[in-house]
Amino acid sequence: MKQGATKDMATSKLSKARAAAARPEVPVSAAERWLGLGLVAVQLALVVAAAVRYRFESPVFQQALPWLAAAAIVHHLLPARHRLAFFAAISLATIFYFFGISPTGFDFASALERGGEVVAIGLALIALCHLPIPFRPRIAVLLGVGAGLMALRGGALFGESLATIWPVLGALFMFRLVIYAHDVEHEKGKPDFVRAIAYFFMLPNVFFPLFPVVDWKAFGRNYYNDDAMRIYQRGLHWMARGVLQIVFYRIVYYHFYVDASLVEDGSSLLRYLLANFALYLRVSGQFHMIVGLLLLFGFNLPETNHHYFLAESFTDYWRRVNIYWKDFMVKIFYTPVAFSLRTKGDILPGVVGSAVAFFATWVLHAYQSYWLRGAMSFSLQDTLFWTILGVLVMINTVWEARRGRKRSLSARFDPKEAFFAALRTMGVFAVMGVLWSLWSAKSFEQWLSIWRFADADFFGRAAVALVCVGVVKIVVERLTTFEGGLLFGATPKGARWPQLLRSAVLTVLLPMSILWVLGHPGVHRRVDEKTRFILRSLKSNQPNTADLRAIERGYYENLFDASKSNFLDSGIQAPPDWVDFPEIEFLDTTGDMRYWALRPNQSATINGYRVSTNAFGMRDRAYAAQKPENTHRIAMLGSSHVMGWGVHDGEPFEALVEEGMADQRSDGESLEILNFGVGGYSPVCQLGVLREVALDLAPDAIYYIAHEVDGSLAIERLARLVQHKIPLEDEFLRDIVARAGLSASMSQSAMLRELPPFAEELVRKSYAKIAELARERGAVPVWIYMPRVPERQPDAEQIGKLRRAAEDAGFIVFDLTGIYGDTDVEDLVMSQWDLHPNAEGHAIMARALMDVMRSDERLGFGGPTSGPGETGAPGAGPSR
Amino acid sequence: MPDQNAIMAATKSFILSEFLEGEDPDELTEDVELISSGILDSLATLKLVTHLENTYDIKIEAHEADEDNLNTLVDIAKLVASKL
Repeated sequence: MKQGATKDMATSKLSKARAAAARPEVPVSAAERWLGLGLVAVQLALVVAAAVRYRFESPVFQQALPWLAAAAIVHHLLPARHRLAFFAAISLATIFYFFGISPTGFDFASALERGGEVVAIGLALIALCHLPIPFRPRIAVLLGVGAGLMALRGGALFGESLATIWPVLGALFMFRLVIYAHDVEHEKGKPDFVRAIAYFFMLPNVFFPLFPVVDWKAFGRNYYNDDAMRIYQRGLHWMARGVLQIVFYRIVYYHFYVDASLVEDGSSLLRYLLANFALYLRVSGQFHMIVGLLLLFGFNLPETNHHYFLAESFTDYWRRVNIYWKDFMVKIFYTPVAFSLRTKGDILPGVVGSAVAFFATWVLHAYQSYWLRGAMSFSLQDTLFWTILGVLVMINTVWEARRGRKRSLSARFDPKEAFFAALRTMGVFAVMGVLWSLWSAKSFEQWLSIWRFADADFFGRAAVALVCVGVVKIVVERLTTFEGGLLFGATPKGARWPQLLRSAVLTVLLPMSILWVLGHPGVHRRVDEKTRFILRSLKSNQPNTADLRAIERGYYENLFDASKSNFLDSGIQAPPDWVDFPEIEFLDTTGDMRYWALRPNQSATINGYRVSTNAFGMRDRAYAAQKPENTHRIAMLGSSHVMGWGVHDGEPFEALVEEGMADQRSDGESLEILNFGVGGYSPVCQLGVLREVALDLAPDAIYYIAHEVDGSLAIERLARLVQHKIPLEDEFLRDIVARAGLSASMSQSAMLRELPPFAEELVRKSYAKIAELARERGAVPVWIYMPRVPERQPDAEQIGKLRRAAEDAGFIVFDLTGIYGDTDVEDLVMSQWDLHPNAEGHAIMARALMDVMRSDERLGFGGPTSGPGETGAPGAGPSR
Repeated sequence: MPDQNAIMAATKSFILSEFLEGEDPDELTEDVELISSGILDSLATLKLVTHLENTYDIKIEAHEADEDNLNTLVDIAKLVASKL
């Protein structure tokens, strides 16, 4: 009796203590609570405005974010008992919304069908976790169903019809199902299905394939476990931090990053190492935004990443860099293994548990890649990275088991400790920077090759960089220990009004206001060109120059492989039902130097755009084979830009120019512009186009539309022609093939290793031949450099070489560099995964081309003659 | 059979001696978060669990060694008491 009473008293005391610690209210009166909500709403509006202005990741997320923010406010205003159900409903709605988005508007049928499939399969998976059978058989059933779904994901069955849902289903269930099945086994009470729906379909997962692995217990345990205003303030802080990290990431990505292939000395090697390491800011920026948003719905989840550049040991790095993943590994792999060995001493359990956790991490990264991309990925770099990091963590674990680890109950600044912590941080930073460069290298050989530039200059600069890291560590240590980190605007448990206000100002209102102003077009107009370029780059979501070229390499290689192009490793991918050019149904190989051509008289809707061909296989209106009298006929040669990949029939710039210039011939003739553009065509292919089709239609002028990539495109296409044993009609081509040592038995990549030294010669001689063929038939050769939309920093040297080659060949030359002016790249391209110009981009190209046509009377449109060597469109940009 | 306060006191003493040497005992209050604050990492958690099992002759399952059951002295005391 006495014992029971004591126990009750103790329990009561404990409960009171815990309750008091858990939920001290911030605003006391109703007026204060409304004021608090108003403060949250203002900050939220500012964060959303900044995120949208800076194009926070995918356009779909940018569109949804204001609605999600509004939903968070509504969620707060609801009675507490309805909030979780509301969150679950909104989360489900985002799934349907996501599948309804299409390039041409909202597709309700797709939303219902695809969204319905994801939700139905998801609910079935949740139900399987509650099968009334013992745990092990239940897990066996889940593994079996999971294996079946993976087979389907691989295209075993229903490949086409279900293709769109797999990355989403994978992102929602691939890891959380494991945690859920594990945790509900030990959960008491009835299953909470509303919470389960909220957990699996949680917003904004559908917009982010790379999503932190949220723990089921933490998801439930932390729901409104603190005062609402404090939770919201923390969430806003993290969302703002997410936006800032994405902006910092872009500074690194656009202005510091050096591709491994361009490392040429100690300085560029150091830039490569530092920038590669810093690119992780994109992932942590996304994670902060995601979890911050969840906090606005009351899920008081812990931080996902914490000052990971300042880790003091390898175990510390592992604990900081992706905290949710670490927790997942500990729960599912480390703890069960270490527990089973806990009688075997202090060291063995930790070492074996760590080894298993790192092995699982390596395997699960490939598993994740399979769900998101459809292919397992086990590269040598992956294996080395996880093995080396795993070994380092194990060594650290043994060290800590033997020597202990310094822990503290309160944040205190000790200069001596801070100094040694800075030294340790410098060491970890150096090793992780090198390891990270290995992980992100395209190949192990490439990674090895960059180290030949590790000279004295490199080590000198690296030492300075590491000292800077050490200084930052000491400064951060000092600031975080000063008044509990309040200088950083922290929102600690128990924070009250003054601290919340300080957090609101320091972490949200001030930085987001500055960011918003810096992103304002009015500010951009008032600064010099260089500053404007930098400010605009912070708002860009497009690949940098190195990645643009890598994408193009991939794109043109994929043209032949008909494989899906991925936007590098950013997580931005084309929808699975997106059609790449080589996949269109009416593309036929020709057996001549064109390699392929569009089939005549076809019409189809591709990616939402109507694409039709005429009787000659041009993406154009109908023309007579016999040129009508009193008609000036232009044959326009080019690739996908000329063809108009990504716009409707009638919208390619060729069609707009034909219409716009129809009555402007100075000789009164009618105008016809024949569109011979086809995706993937290179200068070499244009020789085939002229011989096979264009010259037979008696053009008066040949307009050759050039791009910066003419050289690389020419060698890639030549390699393909050789591989397919297509006869090369021109002696110079056969000569280059012979000198490069190419043969049909070589792989495409082997040929592409041999050909780059011949690229310039190949372009010069192709241009010369095109001009020669044109003149032989009495057609005027005109060469027009047309920049592609993402080329914000055109390679002036490369363009200069192309232009000189065209001039030497006898073309009339025009350079349209700079035609896109200040227009945002994002406004001119089809999508994030396909950077071809949209209708607005084509309209700009058309206007620029019409300007130059009017400007030079040699073209016969009545303008004044330019001087020799001359060129350029009025208003077409400064670098003409 | 020890009550929860006694368990808390004994556990506090163990944590101070094993993981928080030199720290002020008064700062280790019953609501200090041990796991979420990083004081108890996975290795330390294992050591604590082994100590609790040996001291109180109880068995703690792997799935119980988490923030739900071991985050504060109060949580630890409740878990141990529930198994006595």
